[in-house]
Amino acid sequence: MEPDNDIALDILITNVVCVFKTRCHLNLRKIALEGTNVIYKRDVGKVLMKLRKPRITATIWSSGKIICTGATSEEDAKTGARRLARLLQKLGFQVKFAGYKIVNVLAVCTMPFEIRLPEFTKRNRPIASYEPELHPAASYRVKALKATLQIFSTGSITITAPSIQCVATAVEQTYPLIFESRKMIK
Amino acid sequence: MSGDLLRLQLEIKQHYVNDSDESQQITPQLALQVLLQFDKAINNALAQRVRNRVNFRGSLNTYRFCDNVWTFVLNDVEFREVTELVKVDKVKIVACDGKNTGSNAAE
Repeated sequence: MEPDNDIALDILITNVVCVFKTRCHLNLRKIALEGTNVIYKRDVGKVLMKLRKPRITATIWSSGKIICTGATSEEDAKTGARRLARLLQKLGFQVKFAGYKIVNVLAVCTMPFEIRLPEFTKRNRPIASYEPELHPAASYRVKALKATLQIFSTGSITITAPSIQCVATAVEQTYPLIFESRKMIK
Repeated sequence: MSGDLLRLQLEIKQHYVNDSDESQQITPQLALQVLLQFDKAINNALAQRVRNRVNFRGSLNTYRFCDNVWTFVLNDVEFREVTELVKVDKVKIVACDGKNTGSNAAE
């Protein structure tokens, strides 16, 4: 049976991680004392600030580097990052919004069939790796896209890649391979 | 001197300093000694003599954790003791680490 070419698979983005730099030194103590919803981790030199509106957790370093995690879409990630920069600006720092980049996107996808993992790994020997004693999923790395797919026998797949486009492409590329090793319904 | 008690102490000091200015009854050094003694006494009392338990529930407005001091602002809080119930619009909780101790400043 040939796999459908226009499969309507729902790829749900669960996490988008982005970074940006403020290009100015940040006084973490001041942020910790005057900001809202902050936790100051003095031992590692970070301030964690959580935003409610796009639900985002930002890790702030005194060098001005900021990592935002927890967004559910790339626009959310950008507005969250900008909102955070605005908050820091209101605290009095001369922030710039520099070097914004989405670093990682985590998405999940469910196949309408179950998968035979040993067979899948045998077919894709060097690229796929499966160690049932360590982790119940087979891991498939698409080096060209820098994407990693974790394939579970239930048919759920988690994909991590540097951008949403990469995620979609990775799923498209690997769908035929996964389809071959599906568990037939008797 | 834990940060949470500082505010309470500053208020007491203000009170004493104002009084001493008016009636010259208490010197600033004496006020300081009083505050230090208060610090020791209250820590002791909270650790040894307080046994009640109060539950409270509300919605969290903001939180802060800096220098091992938690500062929370809660809205629409209900303080529930076995005997009575107190409802409050806004409460600010300042708490520091201790062996079963913490301090509370409400508004």
